Amino acid sequence: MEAAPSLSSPLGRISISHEAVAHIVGRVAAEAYGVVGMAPRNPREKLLTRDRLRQGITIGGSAEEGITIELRVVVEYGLNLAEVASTLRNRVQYEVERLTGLPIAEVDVRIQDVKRSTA
Amino acid sequence: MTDRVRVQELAHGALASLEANRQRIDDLNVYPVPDGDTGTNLTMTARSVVDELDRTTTEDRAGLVKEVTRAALMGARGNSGVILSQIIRGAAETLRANGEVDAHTVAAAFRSASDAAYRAVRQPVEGTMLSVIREMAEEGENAESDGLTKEELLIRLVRRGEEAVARTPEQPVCSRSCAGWLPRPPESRCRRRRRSARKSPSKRFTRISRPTGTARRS
Repeated sequence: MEAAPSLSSPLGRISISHEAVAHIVGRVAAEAYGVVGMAPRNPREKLLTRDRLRQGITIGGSAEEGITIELRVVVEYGLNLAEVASTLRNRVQYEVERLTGLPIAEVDVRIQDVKRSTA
Repeated sequence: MTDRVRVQELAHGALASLEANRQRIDDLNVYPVPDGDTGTNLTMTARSVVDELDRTTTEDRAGLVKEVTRAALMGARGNSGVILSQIIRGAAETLRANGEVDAHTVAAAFRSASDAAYRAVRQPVEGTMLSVIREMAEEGENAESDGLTKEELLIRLVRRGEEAVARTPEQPVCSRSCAGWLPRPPESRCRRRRRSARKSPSKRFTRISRPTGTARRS
């Protein structure tokens, strides 16, 4: 596993795992307006990711250079995709910075598919 | 009055009202990101509908509905704009049918607007414009709203909407945007946190210069 991003304080080091960050991102994505699902990278990831909340989310980077976040999402058909993606990006950056204190280098949002939900 | 003139008047009225309250709405904005742009986004979304309607020459209602829906979708700005475009789409679909718009149609339009807005979100957050439109739709279907004239019903719906907005600070969205998944803070603290939220939390830590791996090996 990659080194977890860490922050030091006078009392000791605090490290936050990529899984924890991915979990936060997953929660944010679940309540983001317009996002109706997450898209795993491949069938293997779909089967192997135990935590469904982390599906479709890739975390990289370090505390020094800033962490990178990639989300693969499915958006509701008939919405302004550019606006949905940019709102999601802002919200992910805001929440992760607020909850972890880690600097964010990059948030990539990939709209993998669109779906029409039935009423 | 033709349908086109009426819808132009309505859209201009909506835009004027949004412009007048833009700053107030900006100040209310705590979710999804407390960047205070909701009023501006809503105004820009409404303006794109007004611009489209000022250009149009279509007289039939179905054509107008199509243009309004499309303008709202293309002109949607920010999260609130995207939600507003869905509310407009839902309401417009019901209002497409020709004939007099009566109290029953108004109630149905609010229901359709609420349903359309909720369709695009997996975990709706209470205390946002979503819960306000939902409460307005519920009010329209309320037994007490039965038999009212269109004007009486609209007054009632607006009153219920205002009550729903007034209640939003106590709803869970506040605890989410103010304290993550911690217990909900009292309202006063909530406001204070909102103001300080723009400061980066990373300033509270001093970041180490070397990666964790190196520290362990030395």
